[in-house]
Parts: sequence; C-alpha cells; structure tokens
Amino acid sequence: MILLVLAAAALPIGILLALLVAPVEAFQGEPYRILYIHVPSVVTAYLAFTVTFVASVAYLITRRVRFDRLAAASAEVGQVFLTLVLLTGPIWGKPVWGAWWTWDARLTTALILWFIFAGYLMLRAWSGAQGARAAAVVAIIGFLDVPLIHWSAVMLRTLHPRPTVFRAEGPALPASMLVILLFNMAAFIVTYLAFLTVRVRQEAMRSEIGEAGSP
Amino acid sequence: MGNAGPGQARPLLDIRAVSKSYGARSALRSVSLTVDAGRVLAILGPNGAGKSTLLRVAAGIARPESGEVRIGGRPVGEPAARRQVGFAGHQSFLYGYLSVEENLRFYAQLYGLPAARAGEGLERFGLQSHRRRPVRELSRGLVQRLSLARALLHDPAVLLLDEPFTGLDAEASRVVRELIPERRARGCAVAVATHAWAEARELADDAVVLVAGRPALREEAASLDGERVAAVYQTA
Amino acid sequence: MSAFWVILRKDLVVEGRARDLLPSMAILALLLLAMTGATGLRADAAPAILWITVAVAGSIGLVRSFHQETDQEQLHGLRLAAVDPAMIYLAKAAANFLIVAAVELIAWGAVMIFFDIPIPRRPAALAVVLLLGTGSLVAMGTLLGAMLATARMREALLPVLLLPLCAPAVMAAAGATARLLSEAGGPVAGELRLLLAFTLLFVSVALLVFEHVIED
Repeated sequence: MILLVLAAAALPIGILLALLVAPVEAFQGEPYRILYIHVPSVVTAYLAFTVTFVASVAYLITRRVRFDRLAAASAEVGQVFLTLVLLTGPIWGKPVWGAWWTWDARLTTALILWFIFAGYLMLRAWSGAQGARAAAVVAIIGFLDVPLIHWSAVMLRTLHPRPTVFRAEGPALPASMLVILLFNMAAFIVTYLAFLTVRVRQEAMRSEIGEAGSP
Repeated sequence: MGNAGPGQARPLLDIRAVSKSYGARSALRSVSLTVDAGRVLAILGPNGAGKSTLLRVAAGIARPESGEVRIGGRPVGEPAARRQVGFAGHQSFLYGYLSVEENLRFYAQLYGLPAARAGEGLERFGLQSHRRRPVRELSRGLVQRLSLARALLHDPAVLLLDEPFTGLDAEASRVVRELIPERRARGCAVAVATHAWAEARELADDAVVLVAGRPALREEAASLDGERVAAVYQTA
Repeated sequence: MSAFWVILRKDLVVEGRARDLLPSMAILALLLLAMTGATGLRADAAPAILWITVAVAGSIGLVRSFHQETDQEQLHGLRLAAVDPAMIYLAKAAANFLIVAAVELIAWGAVMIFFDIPIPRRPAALAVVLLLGTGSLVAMGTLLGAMLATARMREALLPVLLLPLCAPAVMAAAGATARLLSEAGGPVAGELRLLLAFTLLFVSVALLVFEHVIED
C-alpha cells in the first residue's frame, strides 16, 4: 500500500520536474526531455528482468510456487517498462537523429529482449501450471542471452548516442539534470515495486481461491 | 499392509509420505504405503483420487514435492532402482512408426539386454504373428499387450500396473490375470490400480482405497466388501 | 554412451519411415526463398534471408521431433529405462542436427540459384559458418522443443521463442555469410567465436536443465 502511495506521488512529481524544472540541453533542444522517461524505463525494465531471472533459478531449484509467481509478475511489469523504452526511443530519435529507428546495438538488444519476454508471457498464458518450469528455463536462457545479443549487434553496427550517464568515469550530465534523472529513476523503480507487489498478491489470492474450491 | 516387522526383509516398494500437486490442485497428500516381496497390492479409488499419480510417483516418472519412494531400499531416482521397476499405464511408451519387434528391441537395448529377450517377450504375450506390424496400426488390445511385454522385458522386481484391464480383449485379459500370480510367485512386489473391487479381491493380497489423494481404507483384499468401498468413495 | 546411439538410430529410422519432417521443412524453406526472390529482394540480403528461413523452417521440425516422444509418453519410457536425460537431449539434438543440416543445404542451393551467387571463394570457412549456425539453432531448438512438447499452440510458440533466443547466432551467421560472399571478403573469426560460445553455452544450459524439463 505504502509503495502505491509513494509511487502515485513520486511519479507525477518526477514528470513535472522533467518537463518544467530541468534546464534545456544545448544540442538536442526540448525533445531531450524524453531522456527522463527513457533512461529510467530502461533501468527499471532490466531490473525487472533480472528479478525474473533470479526468481526463475530459485524456482527451478526449490520448486516453491512463490518464486514462480514473482518471476511471472516481474516479467509482466518489466515488459510494460520495456515497451515504454521502445516507444520513447523513436520519439526521441526522430527529432534528434532524423530517423525513427536504427539497428544499433542497444536498440536491437532491447527489441529482441522484448520479443523474448513476449514469448515468455505467451508461454505462460498457454500452458498453465505445467508451463511454469518451461517458462523458468526460457527466462534463464533469455537473461543469459542478453550479453550475446549485444555482442552480435555490436559486431554489426553502432549508432546510439555515446552513453552520458553510465560511463566508467562517472556521469557526464550537469548536476541539475542528473538529480532530476536520478529522482525519476527512483520514482520508476518504486512504481515497479508497487505494481509487482500488487500482481504477486493477486496471483497468490487467485491460487488460494482455486485451492479452496477443490476437496 | 504387509508391513515389515523388525528383523524381516524391508519392503520392495516403499512409499513414504509422498505429496504431489499439479499447480494448485493437490493430487496426493502425504501418502505412505509399502508392498513386500511376493505380495500384490490393489489400489482402488474413484476417478481423480490419485491412483495414477501414485503409481507414476512410485515408478519414478513423476517427482513428488515431498516424501520419497524407495525400491529395494534405494531411492527410485537411482538407475539401479529404476531398473527394478516395470510400469504399464494409460500411455504405452511405444513408438508408432516402429514395429512390434523393433519397439521391444529398442527397449532391450536400452536395458542392456540381449536381443533374444525381445523375442521371448513376443512369444509370451502372443505377439509373434504381429511382430513386423507398425504399432500405429495395432488395436488397443494389442498395444496394451505389447506395453506389458515392454514393462516385463527386464524382469523387474517391482511391477506397477495402472488399470491394466481397461480396453483389453479377452485374450489379453487372460494374460494379465495369469501374469499377476506368476509375478507374485517369483517374489516380486506388484501394485495394481483398478476401479473394480471384485477384481481386486480376486487378484490381490492387500487393498488400499484412495480418496482425494489420501488412503481412506486399508484392508486385506479378501475382506473387501462392495458396500463399504462404495461408502468410502462417497467421503470424497 | 550407447543409449545415445540407440536413440539417435531410432530417430533416424522413424523419420525415414514417417518422411514428414524433412519434406515439409524443405518445402517451406524453398517457398520462403522463392517468395523473397519473387518480391524483389536483392542478392545482398540473401544471407540474412537464408538464416531466417532456416530458423523458421527448422522450427517445424524441432516441434515435431518431440511429438513422437510425447504422444504416448515415450519420454517417460526412456526415463523409466534409466536413460540419462543428458543422453536423451544429445541424441535428439544430433538427430535434429542431421535433419536441419539437410534443410540448410537445400536452402543454400536454392539461394545460390535464386540470387545468382557465385561459387564462394572460401568454401571451408563458409562450411564452418553453416555448421556452427545450424548447431546453434538446433542446440536451442531441441531444448525448446522438449519444453513445449505439451504446450498449447506449440507450433506457433516455438518459432516465437526460437528466433529471439537465437538472435545472436542468426545475426552472427548472417553477418559472416554476407562477408564471405562479398567482393571484399574479410575475417569472420569474431562471428565464429560468437557462434561457438553460443552453442557451448546453451548446450551446457540444456544439459543442466533437461532433466527438470522432461519430468512430470
């Protein structure tokens, strides 16, 4: 509950900050503000899928249903954020690079990951209880695949703006922007956690009802 | 239930506190039973009671959430234990595009047995005249017979049969009826899941009635009584 | 080890009699290639279309290869006979490899004809790319085939899962094939390394999880 309230509060504040308070960027102009949604979405999506990976491993080892539920819920919420990434990318890209889409390493990886999780969610939808193990394996393979996808995409091409936040020497954004970005990141993560808890609880209740109905 | 007392040989088939669920549905709830060498156990129960699940767990082809199964003292997961088990259930485990003979030879090879054993299996179950026919062309009765031949190929010490009489022709029924006492005489442990309590009374030494994943009644097969069994079924 | 040969031989015999996998995969592959050519695809896109075609056509076979192990629970029969699950996986993967490689060769022949590709200057390197690429697809696809064997909509699900999960292999294979066929040529060591890493990684994962995937 607390999480939901926090999320409900933090998210709009973050967006307002992004739109009104953040200074204008020199080269890219107004459209750059999408960064404040795009980057936190990326971070949250990958965080969510990492949770799915860990929960899937835990499920295969322990066979405890709670891990399976966590994996599924995290994948669902993560996919929403990943979809946001893929939608905000072109919106940012068109005015800034002149093209809706490029096949550079990061976008390609994100797109393929989206398909992996779409497949994961379809598998869960179409195989029910028996599919939990299969889904866990898909999640594990998918997660291990990400560096390989990235590697192969790099071998083919690269066009993404050089990373300005996640660099070895530390972020290259001016302090004011960085603060707002970090705030938004925190807001997004809190939102993710809020939705995650809601989803997990929903599934737990659904199983209980199912169980109570049988002798 | 033919329990081994202190100082006696341990049971050949030992099912200890086994629980198994499929998703939210609980199929077996902490079931324990044993079958000693030279004994036949009948497992009765209404549809959905968990008879098939119990046999599959006993055979080691379904894994329980808790509890364990031991064959001759060894956990069923170990290869040496698995080789002691013969199982024939609703699915035949046979390959439709292979012939009768090829299916038996295939399994003989997997068990490390000489090819001649396949031939013996054919004879024993009256399948020689069908030896070259692909399994997908066979009637259900013949498939069941072949499935039994497959189950017994490696002369297992523990035999598990899931509703062996359903869909059988008269000839095959006779074969199964003779099979069970013969295995008993060889000192094997046999567990048979069946609907028909009259059959159980005729063929088994002990009986257990499963209801909703739990043993609801245990007694000597000879004392099975139709009314009492029906009453127990109602408690589901 | 001998269980491997027994199962492999059985798979090949069954396919030899059923004769349904190879023809349907080959026809689908040829059809996809023919249509891409007919709709104006340029020759320099041929390597990419070859690999996507093999992946999609391969999916059919990879689903069906486990159908023969589930329609009468034959997989459980194998488990009952104490066959090591790793051996089951390796044997099925080997059988699938032979079948998909045959489709690959047919597809390659069609690509050379439809897109007028000259005889490659480095046939050995190309052969290695073809083999490793097929190996990657089959390593992953055999595992997925086992996982999806009883799922609803498995014929649709397998390619939906196979393609993104094999994306690195398909991209590397397509990139390497393109470079080997181009005028300029160039090294393909990087791609080969990726293909090898991919195959080894996912064969290892498969060997680890296969037992869990097939049990009840």
